[in-house]
Formats: sequence, structure tokens, C-alpha cells
Amino acid sequence: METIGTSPHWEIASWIGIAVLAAQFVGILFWVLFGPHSRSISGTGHNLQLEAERRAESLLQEVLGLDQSTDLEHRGYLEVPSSTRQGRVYRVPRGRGMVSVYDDGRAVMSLCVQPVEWIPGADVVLIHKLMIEGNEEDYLKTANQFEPGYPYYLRWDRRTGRPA
Amino acid sequence: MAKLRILSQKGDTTVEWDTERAAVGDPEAQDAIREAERIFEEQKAKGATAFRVTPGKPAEKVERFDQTAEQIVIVPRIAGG
Repeated sequence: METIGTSPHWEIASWIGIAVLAAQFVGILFWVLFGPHSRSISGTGHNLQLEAERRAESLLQEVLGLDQSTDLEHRGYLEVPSSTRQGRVYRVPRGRGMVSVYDDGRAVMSLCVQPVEWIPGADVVLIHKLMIEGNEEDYLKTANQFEPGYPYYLRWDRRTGRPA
Repeated sequence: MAKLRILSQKGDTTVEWDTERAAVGDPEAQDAIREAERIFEEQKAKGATAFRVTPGKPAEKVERFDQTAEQIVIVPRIAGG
């Protein structure tokens, strides 16, 4: 006597079901690995970011002019004079990092402030410059202020409290 | 040519207009100005700050759109890190 569990029809149906599930799994796997979204992340997305960086570099050079651009390249930071306090300068690092504040050549504090959304590094430098020149009080109110530290781009003389 | 530049993830987006042609009523130039003003207000509403940028001079914060400015740069909102 033949039982339902051992019926050849059920066996075939089971194998077909397994084959369908396996095919779906393989399809999903291929879609995840090679689908259009993966190209946009690894290819087009990367190109867009490079293009954004290139545009930002170009704008920064245009606004700074040749002399300041060269200074930035050589020193690793941009020096922006205060628009409201005589003798004060802000050193804005080329890469991301804290801005150092100097009063009459002496470091008085470090500032940590950044845009709320990701933007290219050169645009971040430009934002610091524009804010310091044109909106310094708000810039200072917004920034978190720290004791003057030891930024990576600057050697420091502990005895004098001045840049080496 | 005057420019409005908006800093964003894309680097910057630029809207340009010809102030001289706009002054004599050129519709294309006036359309560009209207578009620039619309973007200016939209960005300000999001908390962005606008600056008039003139070569050789410190940047100047601007609260209202100025179609005669040579270049206005809009920067996104900043926060303490």
C-alpha cells in the first residue's frame, strides 16, 4: 500500500519547490553582488565624489588666489585674520581637524566646528574662511572650544606655549 | 556674469546671470535671477549662510539676495564638533 509521504508526485513537487527556492536565492545573490545599485556605489558614486572634490579644489583656489593657495599647500593650513579682534588669526587645517586660534602669536584655543552634512574637504576650508571673515561671532558661538592642543600639522614648544 | 554658488555634497552648484542683460530686461537673464533668488531663499530657510565674495576683500555675510553681487557663496549649516 502506497502512503502520501512516499508518493512519487510529492517527491517531484518537493524537488521542484527546492529548485525554485534555490533559483530565487541565486538570483537574489547575483542582484546583490552585481545589480545596478552595486555599480552606483562602487563606480558612479565614487566618480561623483571625485568630481565633487575636484570642483571644491577649483573653487577654493579661485577664492584664495595664487598666493594663499600656495601658502595653504606649503604650510598645511590657511591663516585667516580675525575681522573683529586685532592680532587674532585662525589657522584652518588643510585636512579635517581643529582650527587653532592665536592672539598675538600665542595659541589661545582650538575650535571644533564642521558642516552638518558631508561636503568635500576643500569646501570645508572655504566655509571656515567665509565664516571667520563674515560671521565670526556666530562662528565662535557655534564652535566647541578647547584648550590649545597639539594639532598634527604643528610642532609645539611647551616651554613658551608658542609654535616651534 | 554674476554667480550664486551653493556648496553641497556635489562640490558646488552654480547659477549664473548676466547683470547687464537683466538690467535691460532680457527675459532669460531675469529668469536666471529669479531662479537664483528662489534657491537663495530655499537654502536660507534650511539654515545655510550666504556670503558676498569679492576677490581681494574679506567675505561679507548677506541676509538678502543681491542680484548685483559679483559672487554669492552659500554654505551649509555648521555645528560644533
